[in-house]
Parts: sequence; C-alpha cells; structure tokens
Amino acid sequence: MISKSCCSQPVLPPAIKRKKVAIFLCAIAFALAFAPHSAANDSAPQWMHAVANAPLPAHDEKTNAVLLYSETDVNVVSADRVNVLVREAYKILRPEGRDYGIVFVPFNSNKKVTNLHGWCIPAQGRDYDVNEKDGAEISLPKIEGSDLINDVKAKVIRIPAPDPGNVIGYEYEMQEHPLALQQLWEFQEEAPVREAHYSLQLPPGWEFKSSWLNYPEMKPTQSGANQWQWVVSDVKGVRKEEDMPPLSGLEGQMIVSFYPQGGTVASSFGTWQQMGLWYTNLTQGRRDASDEIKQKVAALTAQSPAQLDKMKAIAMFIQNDIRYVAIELGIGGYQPHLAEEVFTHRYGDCKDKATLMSAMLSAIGVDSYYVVINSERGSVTANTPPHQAFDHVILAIKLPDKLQDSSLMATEVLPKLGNILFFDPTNEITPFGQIGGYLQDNFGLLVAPDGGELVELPRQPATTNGIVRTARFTLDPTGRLEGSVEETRLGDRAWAERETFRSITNNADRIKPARWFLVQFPHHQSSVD
Amino acid sequence: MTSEPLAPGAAAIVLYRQVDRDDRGQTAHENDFMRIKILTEEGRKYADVEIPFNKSGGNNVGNIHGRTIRPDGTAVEYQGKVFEKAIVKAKGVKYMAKTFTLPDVEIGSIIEYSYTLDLSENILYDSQWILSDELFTKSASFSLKPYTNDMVPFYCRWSWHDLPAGSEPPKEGPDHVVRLEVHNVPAFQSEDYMPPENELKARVDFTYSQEQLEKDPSQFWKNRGKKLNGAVESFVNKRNAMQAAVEQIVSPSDSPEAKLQKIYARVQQLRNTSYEVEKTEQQQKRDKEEKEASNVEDVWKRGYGDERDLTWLFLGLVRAAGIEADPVIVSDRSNFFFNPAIMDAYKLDADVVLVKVNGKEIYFGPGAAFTPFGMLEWPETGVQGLRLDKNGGTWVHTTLPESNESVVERKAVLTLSDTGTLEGKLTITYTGLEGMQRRMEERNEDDAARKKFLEEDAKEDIPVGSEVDLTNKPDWSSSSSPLIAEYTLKIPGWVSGAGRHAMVPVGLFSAPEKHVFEHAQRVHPIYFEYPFEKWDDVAITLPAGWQVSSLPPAKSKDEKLIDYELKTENDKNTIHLTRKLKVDLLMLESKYYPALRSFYEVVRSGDDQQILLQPAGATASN
Repeated sequence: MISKSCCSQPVLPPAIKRKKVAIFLCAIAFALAFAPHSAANDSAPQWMHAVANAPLPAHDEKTNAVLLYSETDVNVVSADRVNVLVREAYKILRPEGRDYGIVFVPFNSNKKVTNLHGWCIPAQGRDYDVNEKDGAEISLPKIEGSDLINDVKAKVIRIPAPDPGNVIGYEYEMQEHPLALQQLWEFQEEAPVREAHYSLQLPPGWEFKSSWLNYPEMKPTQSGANQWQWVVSDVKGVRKEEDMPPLSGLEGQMIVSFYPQGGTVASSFGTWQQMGLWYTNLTQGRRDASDEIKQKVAALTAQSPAQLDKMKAIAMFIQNDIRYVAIELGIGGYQPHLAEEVFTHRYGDCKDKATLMSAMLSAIGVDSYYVVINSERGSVTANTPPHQAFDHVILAIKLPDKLQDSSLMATEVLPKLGNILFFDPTNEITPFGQIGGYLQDNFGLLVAPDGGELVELPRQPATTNGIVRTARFTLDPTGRLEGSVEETRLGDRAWAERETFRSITNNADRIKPARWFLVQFPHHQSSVD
Repeated sequence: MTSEPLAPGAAAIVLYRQVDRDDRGQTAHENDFMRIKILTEEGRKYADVEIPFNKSGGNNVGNIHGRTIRPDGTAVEYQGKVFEKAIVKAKGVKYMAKTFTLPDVEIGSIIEYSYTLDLSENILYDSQWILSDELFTKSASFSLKPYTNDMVPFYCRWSWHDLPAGSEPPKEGPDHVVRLEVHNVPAFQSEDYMPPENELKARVDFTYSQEQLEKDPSQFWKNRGKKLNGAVESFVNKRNAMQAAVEQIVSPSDSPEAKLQKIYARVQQLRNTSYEVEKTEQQQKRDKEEKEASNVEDVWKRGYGDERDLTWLFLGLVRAAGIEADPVIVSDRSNFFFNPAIMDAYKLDADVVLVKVNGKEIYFGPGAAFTPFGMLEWPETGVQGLRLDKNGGTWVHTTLPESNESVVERKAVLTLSDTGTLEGKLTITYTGLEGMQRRMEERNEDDAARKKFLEEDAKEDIPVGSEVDLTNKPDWSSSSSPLIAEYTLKIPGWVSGAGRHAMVPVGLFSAPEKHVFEHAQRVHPIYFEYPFEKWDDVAITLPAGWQVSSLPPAKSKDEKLIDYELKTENDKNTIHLTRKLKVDLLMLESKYYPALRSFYEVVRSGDDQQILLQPAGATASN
C-alpha cells in the first residue's frame, strides 16, 4: 500500500488508456448528456475507412478491442514548440470494449489540445461524427492524499455507438511548449495493435537519438528532409494480471531525444547526467535554510548530541509536522517550493518535503541530494534510457564517515558520494533508516551538483519485512484449541497496518484485522478477543 | 480538548457550523462558516477545503476567509491563494470548485473558514440543510430568509427528518426567518446492510411553490392523484387499438389468468429502451427515438418503449382483454422511504399495475425487464402507492414476495478423491428476484463476460480456492423461467487429514455468511433488499474403502423470520448434506442486532462442523 508517498506530475500520456477512465465515466456521462450535438457531416475520414475492414491482429476471445491504426506525427518547430498530431482507430470486439468510445486527452499549461474529433464507422448505416464542442473539459477529481490542485485537465468526447463490430476513431492536435526535448511513443497497450506509425520532423540541422524499451529496436526510414518514420505492426496486447510489474515497465515504448544544431541545450536529456543537471538548475536555491529554519533545527536537536539523533529528530519533524499537500501548477509539477515557504506553511508535496529536510540537514552539516524516482518499482530499470519517467522525490543523505548504526538499513556506498542513506520524508510511517518496499531495488536519478546518475536503491533483508506470530495453544479433548497469539509486523507489513489504523476511529474495528489471520484456517470457526 | 466523549476516537470534530441563507432580494446568497477542532494526525486533512459550485447556473463562491488557531491560542490568518478549478466544463455546463488549504495545522489546532455562496439572479432555488456531516458536530445554527414578492405570492414549506435528540423543529420567527439550532449531531457512519443513506441523515428540506400550499396531506395527494390519473388515462385510452392488439396475443378461449400471462410475456418481450446501453443524442436522432410516444397505440405500433411506456401498454392490453386493472404510482425505496405527510410529489416515482384476476389482486411491473410474472423489482415491493382513479385514488401497499420466491438453489453431485479433492457437477438455480438481478446486471454483456460473471459468483460462495467451469448456456433473456447455471466443480484439498482420519467441512457454500455482521456494535437498522432463501443439496461419494467415522449433529436455529437448518446423512459410501438458510426480513431495528449477530454465529458454527472419515487401510483407534 502506498499512501501519500507519490506525487509530482507524471508525463502526460497522449490519451488516457481505457481502464483508468472507469472512475470518471459517471461524471462525464452526466456532463456529456447536457452537451447538444453540433452540426456534423457524419463522415469518418479516409484514414479510418482505409483500415475499417483490414485484417485484425492476433487476439483471443477475451480481447475487448484491437487497435487497427495509430499514427503519431511529431513536428519539432523549435526548442520551444512541438506540434503533434495523433490518430487512432479501434475495432470494438466485445461489449466491454464500449469504454473505448470515451476518449480522454489530457493537457496542461504547457500542452494545448486542439481539433479533437471522433468518429464511428458502424457495421451498418452511416458514420457518426463528434468534435470537442460536443464534449467536455474536466479536471482530475480530488482524491484524498493526492494533489490539492494541479493544472492537468482533460478534454473528453463520447463517440456514438462504440458497439461490438463497429470501428471508432479519433484525432487531435497538440501544441507543446516542451520542458524537455524528448518525446515518448507508447505503442503497446492492452489492445493488440495492428499497425502503429510514428513520424518525426526536425528543423534543419537538428539531430535525434532513439531508444527502445521492452521491444526490439526498429530502424526508421527517412521520408523527407530531416523527417523519419517508424512503423510497428502486430504488437501483442498486454493484459493486466495480479502482482505484475507496472505496465510502463512492460509495454513497448520508444523514447526520442532531439538536439538543436550545435549540440545540446539544457532541456536535452542524452544522458542521466544531463537530466540531473536540468533538475539541479530547476532546484537552484530552493534548499537554502532561512534563519527560522535554523532556529527550528537548533530547537529540535538541542537534546540530541549525536548526529544520528539529530537527523532522526529532523526526519520526525518532516514526517509528522509537514502535512502532505500538493499544489502543482505549471513548472510546479517538477520544481519544489522554497524550503522557507514549506516551513512557514507547514505543508508541501514530496519534493517540498525533501527540500525542507535537505535544508534542515544542511543546518547540522549533513549534505543530502534529491533522488527523483518512480514510486512503482519496475517502471525504470538499469536499461531505461534517460527520460522523465518519475513521479516522486526522496532524499539521499550523505552519512558522516564514522557513523555506523544497525538501524540504518537503506544505505549504499556510492563511488562518488560515499556512504548514502536513502529516505522518503513523504512516507510518514516508515522509520528513519529504512525505505518502503516500493523503493527497494528501485532505480532513481540521484541529482548531484555535477549532474546525476541512475542508482539502484538497496534491498532490505526479508526479515525486516515480515509477520512473526507466536502462539501458545492448548488442545482439549473436544478438539477445542485455545490460547494466545502475539503478532509482530515489520517493515511494509507494519506500515500497511498502521496506515489502515490511522483512519479507523472505532476501537472495536481495530480488532478486525486480527481476525483475518485466523480466517486463514477456512474450515474452522474462531473467536478473537 | 484532546477528545470528545460523544465522538470517541474522532480525527476531528465540528465545534460550530453556521449556515445563513437569504433568498430575499434579486440575488440570493448563503453564508457558511465552519470551526473544526483537529484531534489526530489524520484529522489534519480537514485543512484542505474544496467548495464546489455550479458556475453555469450563475452561482459563485467568494468572500473566503480562513485562519488556523494554534494549540497555544495564537492565530495564523489565511493569506494564501484560493484556486479555482473546473471540475467539468461542457456546453452549458460549468461545475467549478474553489480550493485552498489552511497553513500550520497540527493536532490541537482549530481551523476556521467562511465563504459566501452567491446564487444566480432571478432564480429561486429550493434549499436543504443536511445536518449529518462526516464529522461529529457539537453545535450548528441554520437560518433561511424565504423569498417574498409583493406582486406574485410565493409559498415556502419545509419538512425535517431525523433531527438530533432534543432539537426543536425549525420554526419561523416573527421576522419571517426560519431558524434551527442543533447540538451533538453524530458523525454519519456507513454500515453494511443499512437503509438508504438519505433516510439516515438528519436534514431539513425546503420547497417553494407559486401555488397556495396545501396543508392537508390527504387533500394534497387527492389533487396529485387526479392529475396523475388524468395523464395515465389519456396515455392508455386507446381501446380500439388495444383490442386489436390483444387479439393478436390471446385467444378468446383463454382463461383470464392465461390471458394475463400471455400479455405479460408479450410486453416483456418488447424492446425496453430503459435497459439498453445509453445512446448519444446523435444516435437517438439517427434512430428516430427522440420523440416520446404519446399513447399506448404508438408504443404498440413501434414495438418498443421505455419502462413507463411498457407498463401503461400492459395496462391498456389487460383492460382490453376484459380484466380489471388500475395504474398505481409507488415510491421506489432504494433511495428514500416514502412519507405522505411530507407531501413531496416527486417521491412517488415508479409505476406498477394492479390487476384483479379470479378475485385476487396482483401487482405487476411489466416495464422492469426480466421481472417474473406476478413480481415487482425489489425497490417497488412492500411500499406505499397511490392506486389512481378519477377521484384521486386510494393508498395501497405493494406486496412483498415471500422468501421462498427468490431462492439460490445449489445442487452438487461430487466425488471425493484419495487426495482430498472434491470434484463433480454443480447446478445453481436462481429463481425470482435472484434470477432477475443477475439477468439485469449482465443484460448488455456477451457470452464470455456472462460466463465469467457466473463462475465468479459461484466461486464466491465457496470458502476456499476452487475451479469452476460453466458448461451450459443459461437462458439470459427470459423473465419467466429461473436462471440455471451448470458447472463442473473442483475443490483441491477440501478434505484434510488428521492422524488416521480425514475431515470434511460441511459448509461447502458457506463463504457469504462467514463475515456478515461481525461488528459488535451497530448504529443503523439492518436492511435487506428483499427476502430470500438459499438451499443446498450436496452428495459426496467417498473413495472406495473409506468409511464415515462420525457425522456432526443436525443443527437448526428457527427464529421464524430467519431460519437455518443443516443436516448430514450417510448412506453406504455417500454423504448427503442439506443446508437451508431463510431470511424473511426487510428491516430490523438496531436493538435486535445482537440477536441477528448471534443467529449468524450459529450459522457459522454449523457450517464449520466436520465429518470425520476413516480412509481405506486406516484402522480406528483411540
């Protein structure tokens, strides 16, 4: 269970994939019910008709829909402007595939969406046609523990008749003011893909570098002056299963980085080091400790002569006294607030908490570094090329050379920085010295003054993440087993339980989780007190 | 203060809440104030405030102020930014929210915020005071200055529900302001098997009307009944067309009951647009369904209609067949419980038909898909309704089906292997509302989804991991026949060994009862949608040479309205288990919860009993 531990804006996908949309459907259906239908010519475009009767890619009887055609045309106009055209056409195979008829296209202050248009080619009868005037614009709903406010919105249209046998499709254009000169092409998804095209148009003299993830590399063909095209076909669908790695760690993707004439710019990520430099610039001066912060550190650590105890006192303050509140507007999705502001308001998101903690640690002479990471282990691996695949920020704390303590488990000796302790100040329950399971063996970008490097976080011993039950029972002649059980939960197991208890106010209900362990003996009646 | 004795364990409590609505003048507005005490770390989340409003309706939220009072008494005024976000923006629709978070909030802090909700000009809104909040409320004060107009008379009526103990009902003062003060309003708590939330929350509802408000409920409903009767009769009164239609359905020699059955079956077979996948406006236009039917003749000619169209078509056809039938407007109990004294016309919101055949009155809900003959869908059962006539009608109560009309019957013929695996055939028959509910849920799905649905449904009844494979093609379209699902079933490790014995648990389908009503405390009444029964009949053939060492005693607990019976028998090498669970309850006051809980404990103890077997080759010993 992860709670209040991931934040920051993820890279916006081109269009939200189906399963994520279910929770919005009621609200959207309500809004769309009010939207009158605008005049339309009731005719799907030629690119859709051209594929409507194409042979389907391999699929099984559980497949809800197949992606017949996908086209992403990226036109890099300058370092400040990228235009993207997206076209997709699905054939609906099962009633559960009707969700594909609701199209969400996210956007934010750096990414505008225009000309959203949708069509349906029914198996019988005339085509249907909708555009964004028939649709709605929504903000993501407030979920407890998530952002208080951000500027991510979505345009939504509802394509008529997304019934089995029909083909639905949509297209839209995006004008992007890119924070980084990089694009992600996610061509594999839950639906099997018949054919997906990606084209890149660069200004004269610009160059690109492509990297492939979870799929064999395809070579581009040059289709014009400084224009390249990639095509993949018959791509298998990725169906969700329990306890599987995150989809972003399994699905085929291509990352394209591009460079202006004359070399790189600050927003080009050819290497993790370059990306680290970008984040270093973005966070410049944010971790400066104000006098008030220093005074608070002095007060917190006054009774703690040992450096480790001082660090623990600071960690506890950040975990308990700085409330998780995310306000992420524009660049605020990536750039933390000033430590001073976070301290004054006593709230902030993950990067804000890391920023204030870093400032407070510096006040006791301890250096620390941001680690930008994805809270779903498996999204980024040792082979992942540099790109914005992260949604969370934690700290790497440089431990004083002589400091050794068995409670400090989440440590790693790094060649350049020495003995480092990883710590997530957003996680309010995991004790200082440890990290949650979602971070263990995970890969994050450690942002150091000279740039950054992708580091693997340590895996804590299994014994630190378990349940120990000690039982003393007596069996009587009637078969009745009676006695006492003591249960000790460690690591994530303890964290999950504490997280559950936090919101339970009724003492009788606190007993309930204990019952669950006894019901693991399904054939036996049990009573717990 | 670190806790509130009346709200033990609460994360936060509302110390004071004030809502003052002023509907007078051209622009109405409402001033809201909240003072919240933070008692735990979890409670700090109440410092994040989101105020939704309908901007497209001309409403706005302004004049926002807030502050945090620290535990030491010092205060921090809120000076941050108030964010406005569009929750949904579409043509003609703009739902927005003002969002802010109060600073420096810690355990022991008091947070305060206030705002003004400006309502649009020249529009008069009904209002509602919901007193039950997510948090316990120590004190709250509400007021409403109702709209008045010197030129056109406006009338305002209010009703209240479930006010906290000791509260005076809302009263209009000499200044014509309606006021209410309440204290110690419990936090609203959700529980399993509870009545609709609206029935449990304390609230006051205000209604404006330009017509003189009727003070006498019987006169109010008489007037309403006359209006409704006029509308229904003008929709149904197409005698010639109905007579021609009914001739196509029944034969003159049919008995009245047979005629009724044929008409019901015919109406159920018609396309019911209320249960189809929702269409976009463009599809509706294309399918030329935008125009509402103006009478039953239209519905019959088209061959389709919505729930209401089909109900009245049935009424027209039954009458044309010479059978006495009346329209009845009833109250759907899935959201509210109806109280005629409140005089809310919109609470009578569902249509059924009362037919008199062979001297017996039977309710029909032909517009509800998959509803068996002579039954209603559950929200319309056991509710008050107005049987319409030209004089306004009379009050009636719809019937509540017997528990044995909605049954899940599971029959299993299984073989036990030497390794403890149970394997064989399972047939589950869903009758009455049990079948209807499942057909309704899966009505727009394909065979693969329905197969998965039924298999998961069956697996959920079995308390351990099992393999279930549907082998037949159930009849998903009928409303007259039970829904029958046949499976092959395999439960590895159902029988476990203990020394020289093997033990067979008797509760093969006991999973749903394992965790119901476990909580020691109960706040709300216990509410079941409809009475039901579960019947299990399981035959297990033992491996060759195996013998039964002991059978558990029969267990039964008959509380009349709820009943449990479990029996195990042994015949040669076959064990025969029968289990019956009857729940003939609709609502039970919370004071009877301990008795209900103890009944389910008996059920669990019966289901957890074991049959002792002696495998082949093992000899009995002490």
